[in-house]
Amino acid sequence: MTMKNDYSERIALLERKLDRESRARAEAEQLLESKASELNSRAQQLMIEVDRTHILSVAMESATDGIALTDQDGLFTFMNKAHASMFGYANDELIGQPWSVLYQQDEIERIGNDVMPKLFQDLSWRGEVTGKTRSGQTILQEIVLTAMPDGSMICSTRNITARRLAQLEARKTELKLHQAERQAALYVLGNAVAHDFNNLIAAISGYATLIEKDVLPGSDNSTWAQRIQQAANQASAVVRSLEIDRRDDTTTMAEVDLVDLVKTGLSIAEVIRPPGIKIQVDLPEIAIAHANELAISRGMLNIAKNAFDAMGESGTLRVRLSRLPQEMFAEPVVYKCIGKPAHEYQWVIEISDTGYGISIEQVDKIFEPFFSTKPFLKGSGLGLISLIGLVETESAFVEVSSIPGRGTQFRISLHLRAITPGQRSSIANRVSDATLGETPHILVVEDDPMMGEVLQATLSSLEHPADSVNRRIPIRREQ
Amino acid sequence: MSKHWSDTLADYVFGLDSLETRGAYTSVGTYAHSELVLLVNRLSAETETEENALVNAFGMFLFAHLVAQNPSSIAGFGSCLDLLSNIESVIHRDVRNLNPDAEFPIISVLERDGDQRLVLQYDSARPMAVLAEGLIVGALNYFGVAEMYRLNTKFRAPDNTRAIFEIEINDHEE
Repeated sequence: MTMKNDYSERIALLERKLDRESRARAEAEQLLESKASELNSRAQQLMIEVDRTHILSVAMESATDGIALTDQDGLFTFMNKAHASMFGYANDELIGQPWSVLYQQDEIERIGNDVMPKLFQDLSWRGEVTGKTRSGQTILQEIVLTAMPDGSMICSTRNITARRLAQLEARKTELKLHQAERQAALYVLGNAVAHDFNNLIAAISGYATLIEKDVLPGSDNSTWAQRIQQAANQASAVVRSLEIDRRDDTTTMAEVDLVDLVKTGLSIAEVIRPPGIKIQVDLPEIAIAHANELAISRGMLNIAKNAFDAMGESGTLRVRLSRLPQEMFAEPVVYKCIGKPAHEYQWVIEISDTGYGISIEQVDKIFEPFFSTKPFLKGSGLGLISLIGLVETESAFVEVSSIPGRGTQFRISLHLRAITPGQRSSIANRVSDATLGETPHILVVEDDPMMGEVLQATLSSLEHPADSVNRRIPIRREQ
Repeated sequence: MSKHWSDTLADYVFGLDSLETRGAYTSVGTYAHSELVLLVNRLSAETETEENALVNAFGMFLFAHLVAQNPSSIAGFGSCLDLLSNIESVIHRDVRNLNPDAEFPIISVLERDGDQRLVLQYDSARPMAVLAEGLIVGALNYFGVAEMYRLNTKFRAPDNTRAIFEIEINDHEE
């Protein structure tokens, strides 16, 4: 009986144990099934991530910006082709190398002392650093560094050496243009003063000559008149020495490619272009001309500056270079031209804007020195003087047409054969020689009444009959 | 339990009505620590053995069992102190990769003097400081250095949720 009870107890115990193990097994199977399903789901997710990583990897590899990753010790773990080639290396050549191999010692110290503390404080740093290529050349990098939580870094960079050099070159050209503009201002001011003084001195000298003729030779009055003449001659020499020589770069003619010239001018204009203004350019492939580079650049830049001011925050500046000019505004309300028109031109530069235009009152004055519609200290009123220089040195024909409220168009037509100032003097001398006879009757035309009177009196004293016209005569030019 | 005592005792302990699992456990499952506490209470009462001694012994057994199941998990450690120093950074990290829902105690290295001495701190929401102590002893046994080292429990909170262990070379044994 006891043995039977023991067996029964033993069987019951084994049954309970079997029950526990069966339940544990069922639970384990269920758990394993659940884990397997979860792992399968994770594996699929992982495959998606792998594909995405592959795409990102390809994108990083084909990016034009340099991309590199470093580990906690600053050793490169990844570098795309753009980054490696920027420094003259092959793709995998720098993997495992420290980032410092790409920099000179002083730059390494600057990065260590200034850049790294800010990077690990803000987790990001953007700026410029100077790198060193494999061949030892210096390159300027624009760089963005990102610090990762594990101490590794992501570096995105681009080589801005060429861009910076171009900016420096544009700045140099701009400074040169400003210098030329200042010289032009001095020329206008100096020669205007010299012209007025010369008129006064000529009057003094003329009257002294008349006095000398009217008094007894050898008398005190004759001597004093001679002294006045001598002093006037000396004063005239002093004024001549004060006249500013205009033979600067603006008169130097050379073979230039106008396409390059326009592009350079626009690159400078780009620096001052308001963000909302677009520039449209229509250029031929090449446009070689015998021209003065600086005068054309100055003219274009000043027209562009005025156009930006006229357009304010938005608008379009159009620049076109061609053999044949386009029609100007269909019905220009305002028109002004300087220079002489020709039947044929080398090239025509047209610059138009969508600004507020030029009024009828303003258009006659826009080529006058120191005339400006801009606020005080904003415009010198000398910008468009350079266009007069163009007319003088290039025999160009400059036209401006405008519709107030709609825009302005400038057209610079370069003559097919420019006549140099020397040629003009020669022509003037030939005309002078041909028209003067033995006893000509002379018409004196002089806007300065005093000068006219002196000339008429002097000519009369020399027995040349002379009439004087000394009032302003309106001259009408037929179109 | 069956091997050390008897199937009858094991059947009795696992037959507790208050156990949510009704005594069925599997190595891939996760269970409330309160069940372990209930099992220890009952085993202690039946065997008249202190609960801490039972948990300590279970820790030693558990370490050997874990290593037997995953020998590669500790293959990279050259010494027992290296293993104990990296529980948080290596062991827990690896386990978390396999089981993201797992909850771990925090094992901090307070001091380390080369291969001479190590001071660890145990912090947990569960009262398992004695189990940790047993695991440390299990590790010392595994590396065959249990007799060369001395384990000194410098502090243990009454509720067993925090403890500081000092493990150092036992000069007397040398």
